[in-house]
Amino acid sequence: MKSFQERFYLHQPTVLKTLWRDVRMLAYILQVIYVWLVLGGRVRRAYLRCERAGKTWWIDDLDREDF
Amino acid sequence: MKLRSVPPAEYSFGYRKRPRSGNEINGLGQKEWSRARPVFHNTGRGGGRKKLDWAAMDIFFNLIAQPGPFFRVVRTLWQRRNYAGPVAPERKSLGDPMAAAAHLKAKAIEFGAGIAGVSELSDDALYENYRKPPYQYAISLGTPMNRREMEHVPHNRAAVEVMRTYGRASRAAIDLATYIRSKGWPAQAYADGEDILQIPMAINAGLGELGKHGSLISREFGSNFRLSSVLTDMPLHCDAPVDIGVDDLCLSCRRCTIDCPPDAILDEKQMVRGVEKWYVDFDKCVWYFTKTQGCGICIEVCPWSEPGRGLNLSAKLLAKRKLRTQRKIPGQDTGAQTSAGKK
Repeated sequence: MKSFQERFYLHQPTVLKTLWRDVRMLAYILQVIYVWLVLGGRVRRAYLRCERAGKTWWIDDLDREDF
Repeated sequence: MKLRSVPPAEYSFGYRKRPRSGNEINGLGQKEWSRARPVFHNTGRGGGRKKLDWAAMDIFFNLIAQPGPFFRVVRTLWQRRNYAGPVAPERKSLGDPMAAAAHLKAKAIEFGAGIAGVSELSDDALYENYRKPPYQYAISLGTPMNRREMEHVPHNRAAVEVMRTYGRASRAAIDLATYIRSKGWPAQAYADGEDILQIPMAINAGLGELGKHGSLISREFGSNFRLSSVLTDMPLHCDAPVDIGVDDLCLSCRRCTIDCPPDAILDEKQMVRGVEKWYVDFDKCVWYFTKTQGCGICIEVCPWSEPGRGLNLSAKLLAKRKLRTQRKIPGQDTGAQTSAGKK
């Protein structure tokens, strides 16, 4: 997997390369927002439920390769 | 600064199987020098890098972020597309290295930084097994935070201000890098700790000294600022590390140690990867840092962070140190001199 730099930094851009990079980066950011909204929403609600009930929310499950 | 309500250091989240100690990864107790290893707030992914031991905590930190700080992070992420760019084909001189460095530091301030300094890119700013960026010099920028907002640590309002400042620090670095490239020299902005370490570069560039709370302390802003940098090949005169009297206070002051809810700040310097320095217990700090989304208590209660205090404080501490040194004159009894002086 490429690093963020390798994926999105352009040292010798052309108009088309820049446009394509911006589209890819926008897609990446939308994915970040989606994950925060959907998965993050589930995690936040579960965590708050645990907090109110005095229980522990285990974060090990987040330690997956696909994150 | 008086703290507002402080949540207790009790956690409703945990690990079933705790990862390897962050202190061990950081090299606490290690006597031989080595580069730093990424522990947290670093995707650690891509470019052949391993996933970090504390990745789950980092993901949890990001997922429980409130909308205010989160969307500011997203904005700064979008800014990152401009960290690198094309270099102008024609090289324009900014004078000799000293004149060029002074000019670029002034430009950095014009672009929104509060302080700036230059150093040579050295190994202590690099992570183990990471490729060294192809640049020789680092221009470190310090962008001040709004103290009024930061007084709300460790609550969301302060977290928003931190992320807002990171955005401004990023903007200043981008503008400076773009300016340098327009003069025909390669340059790239760095405004996160993902690829390089900002604090060692800033220390080398004379922005300040490392404080007991593990953050940089400057005369101008105390610890109330955020770092970013620009790496470049333009020949520049380097600044030297400064001595502003931080240890003279930190060795006896316990403000951050006392106010730290998880009790993560150590009163004595520790051996860390071959260097004796101030060190914060990662394994204690990270839990509270995650729960409060960035905490910040230590940097705001620090006496150096009181607005307008740093310059006078530094002058007083250095003057007292000079006096102590002068009193140790051979042939004279220091004790008698002290009691005589008190009359």
